Amino acid sequence: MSSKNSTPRPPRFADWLLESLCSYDYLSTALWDLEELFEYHVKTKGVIRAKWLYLKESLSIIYHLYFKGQSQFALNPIAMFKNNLTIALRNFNKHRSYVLLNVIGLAFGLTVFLLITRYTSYEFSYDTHHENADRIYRVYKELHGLEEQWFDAGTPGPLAKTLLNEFPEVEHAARFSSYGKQLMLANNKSFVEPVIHAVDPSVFEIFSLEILHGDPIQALNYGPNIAISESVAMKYFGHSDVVNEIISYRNQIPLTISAVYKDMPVNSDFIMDLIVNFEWTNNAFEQDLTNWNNNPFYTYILLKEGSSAIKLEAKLPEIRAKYANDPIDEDGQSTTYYLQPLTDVHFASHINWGMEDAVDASRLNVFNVIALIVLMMAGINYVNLATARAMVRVKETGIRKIMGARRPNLLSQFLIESGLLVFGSLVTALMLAHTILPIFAHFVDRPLAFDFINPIFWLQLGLLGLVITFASGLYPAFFMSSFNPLYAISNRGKFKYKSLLRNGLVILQFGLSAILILSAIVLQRQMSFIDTVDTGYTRDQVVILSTRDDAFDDKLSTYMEEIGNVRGVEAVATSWSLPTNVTSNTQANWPGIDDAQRIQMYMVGVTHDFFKLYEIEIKEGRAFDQEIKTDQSAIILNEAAVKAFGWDNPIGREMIRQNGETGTVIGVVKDFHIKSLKEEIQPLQIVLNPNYATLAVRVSGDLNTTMASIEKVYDSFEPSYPFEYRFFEDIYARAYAEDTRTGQLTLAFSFLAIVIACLGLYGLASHKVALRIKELGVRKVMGASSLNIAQLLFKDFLVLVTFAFMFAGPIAYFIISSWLENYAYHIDLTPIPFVATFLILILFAGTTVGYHTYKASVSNPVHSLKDE
Amino acid sequence: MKKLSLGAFEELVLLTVGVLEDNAYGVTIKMELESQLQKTVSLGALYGALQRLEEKGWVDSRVGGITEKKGGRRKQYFDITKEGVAALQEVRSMRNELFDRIPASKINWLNS
Repeated sequence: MSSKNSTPRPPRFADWLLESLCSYDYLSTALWDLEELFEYHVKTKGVIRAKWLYLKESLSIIYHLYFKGQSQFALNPIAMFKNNLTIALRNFNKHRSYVLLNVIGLAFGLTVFLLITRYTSYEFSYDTHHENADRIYRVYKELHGLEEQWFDAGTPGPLAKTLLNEFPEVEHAARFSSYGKQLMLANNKSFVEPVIHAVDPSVFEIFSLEILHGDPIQALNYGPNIAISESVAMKYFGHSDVVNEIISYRNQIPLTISAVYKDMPVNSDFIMDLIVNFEWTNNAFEQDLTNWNNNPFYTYILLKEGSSAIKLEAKLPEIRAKYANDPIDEDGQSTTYYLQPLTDVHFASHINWGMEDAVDASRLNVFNVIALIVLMMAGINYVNLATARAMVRVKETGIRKIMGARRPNLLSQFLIESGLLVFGSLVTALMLAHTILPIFAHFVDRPLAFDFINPIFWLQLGLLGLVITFASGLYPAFFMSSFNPLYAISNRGKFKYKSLLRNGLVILQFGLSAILILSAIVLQRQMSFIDTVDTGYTRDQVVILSTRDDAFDDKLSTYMEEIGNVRGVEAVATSWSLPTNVTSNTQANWPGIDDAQRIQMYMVGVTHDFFKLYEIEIKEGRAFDQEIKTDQSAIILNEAAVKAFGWDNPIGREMIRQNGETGTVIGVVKDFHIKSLKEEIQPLQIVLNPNYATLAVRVSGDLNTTMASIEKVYDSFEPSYPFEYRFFEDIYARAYAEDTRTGQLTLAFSFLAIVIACLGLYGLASHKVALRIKELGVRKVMGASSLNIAQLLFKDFLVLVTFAFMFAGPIAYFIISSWLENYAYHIDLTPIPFVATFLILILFAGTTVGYHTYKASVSNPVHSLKDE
Repeated sequence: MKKLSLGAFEELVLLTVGVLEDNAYGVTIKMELESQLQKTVSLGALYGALQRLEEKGWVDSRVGGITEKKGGRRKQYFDITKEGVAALQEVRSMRNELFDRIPASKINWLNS
């Protein structure tokens, strides 16, 4: 509208609808009435309401026209549509193999697309269900070391309240801490809970938790109360209305149920099933809630509507400077706080110590790209097959044109055909994907399902179908409707058509296949490298035992001793963490050190048999010795540390330990991987210290009997938790599970991609042979051998595949080598995978084309030449 | 005369066309019906009824008020035909006859 004073106009959309759907007579009458009503409504009810009523009336007119038996006034397109549909179906019936080829290819592509996008959109849906999701932020911190900085989700106790008091734009702030694997007693049954969350009651204001019974905010204010999820209530009591029932925490502390809330959706970064009051539990556990340098808590804030997170983030260093007396700052470390939108938390894999494992978003994007590629390849098939077949349909098109069909008629005819094909493929794909989904969901370890009840799902599906129809059908439609009818129906229909585009598309298809295959091969090799690489420690027969039970608090050494006596146990030891993932760090320090040498180093406390258990090799000096009392303060370094310090003779040198005491270096171990293989081996110091332990045993002989004996020992300590253990091998494999999964998925997808490409090639080859059948016949008659013919046909495809490989090779090289860079320890990129890929392409393409080539080369020229 | 089949809504539309005399077209019929029925009548439903009435020969339509405006929209006037009036009359007399057969006690019941 040009100005506010111009007369209001009825909605154009309604007019457009009427014009395109009603016959002329009907339309003009209706428009008169509609307009008069509109003018009247503008005066009596205002412009907006008038427009709305206009639209409503228009729709009612169309509805009555089409569904209430006045269809003689409906416009032609519908009738034309029916006609076109019939023609399309007849056409399909005549060319069944062509249709099948297309539907299979498209259905495969769509199946892959549906599966992958279900997976990725599930991942991207994390935490979006919270009503205020766009205003909720997690506070995380950056620590600046001397050389590096790292991110950490842990925040100090006083942070939340300070933010709330200092900044008016913060509406609510809440702290979280969690206690894993706790024993709860309810209804005289005991349950081991994987996680219990201690929170500030304002959590209920920040997150959308639907309360079923009770009042959490009131009740969680202070004291021994607990809020539980519906499923926990059902598990404990068999019904959900359990407010005021009692649950015992660790069998000792009675907690009153104050509220029952609806289960949080599974696509949440953290799922709270049992919630207790933060202040109360932390006071009970004597946690220091005022210390700015103790960071075991998570802080989430809700911003007021319209306030800027970026502006707030800029002000966060102020409060750190104001409140925290930063003793670490003197050592050159400092902390900066940042805000992270709730919906990004799931992808924050660069931030350590989150509540749940984060996922690498770029990996999901890689999957999305693969899904698009596979879909695109299926679409290319359609374009190729359709344009190739255009030659066959030249006559049909020509006659239609001469009979008076105009370009738009033909266009819609061809688009309806592709639409039908897409529809058929979509239905097939949906059934296929629905069948495969459970397997796929199990594989990616996510509870995936298609939301068949959701209208948006169908809307998206319809939209996808439309997009594919137009993307793949538009060019063939234009191409096929462009023929000059005179040429088309004359028997000399030998006008030139360019196969450049088609060949280009085939090259693109095979190029993309090549990239996928190459990536899959290298991924597989890297993964098997990880499996077999010498990490410097053994994982075989190593079992990690659970020791979280209170029963072992002060009896751990007795327990270890008794396990050590079990037959089949080779070694027993504890360490602060598994050798795969050493997390404690400190700064290297020794008498007379200069500041430049103060590097970050990792640290792990172990018991004597640690080296024996994990078969870690001592390079120099010796391991800890039970007999030598002074070993309590001894230090063992790894080679990386010695190298970093620049020491020539490490044995016997003094170092200052974290607690300030001095210790002597008694040995150097051969470097073993203390982190993921993605990282370089860092300097490490190993000391004797049995606290905060991971208990491991290495067993020999029959695993079952040995574990049964260990369980007997365990039970003799009368623990409240059941006996639990895990294999180190499994833990190790899990650390690389995501990468392994990517490798396997890429392999599967690249296989599918090449199958789709071959389907297209098959169709093209059959077409090409059909077009040249006479030429080949003549050649044969003139004395060409079957081999000559085969060579002739084969050459074309060899050229295509070679071109494809030539453009794909460098791209694949770039992608793969940058992926390998992620790993500090990786395989070298040799020519072998490239050669293998090329051979695979030739093999697939050759087999596909070969069938037609063979048929053409052995056929009797009499048959191909007789009908002229 | 063909067999009478006059729906309740059609009957109302036919009556309204008769009432409005020379000024019966979409908008006026709709407005009149709405004020009588105290509820919204959609143009779509109205057109449907008018069309069925025209097919049965109970209304005639004529065109008027063609304008130069876009699309050359025109006003379509409806007039009740002789047969239309006859149909209304027949319906009415049938109703009256039935009404008269309602026992007096039931009628008095209303006034009590």
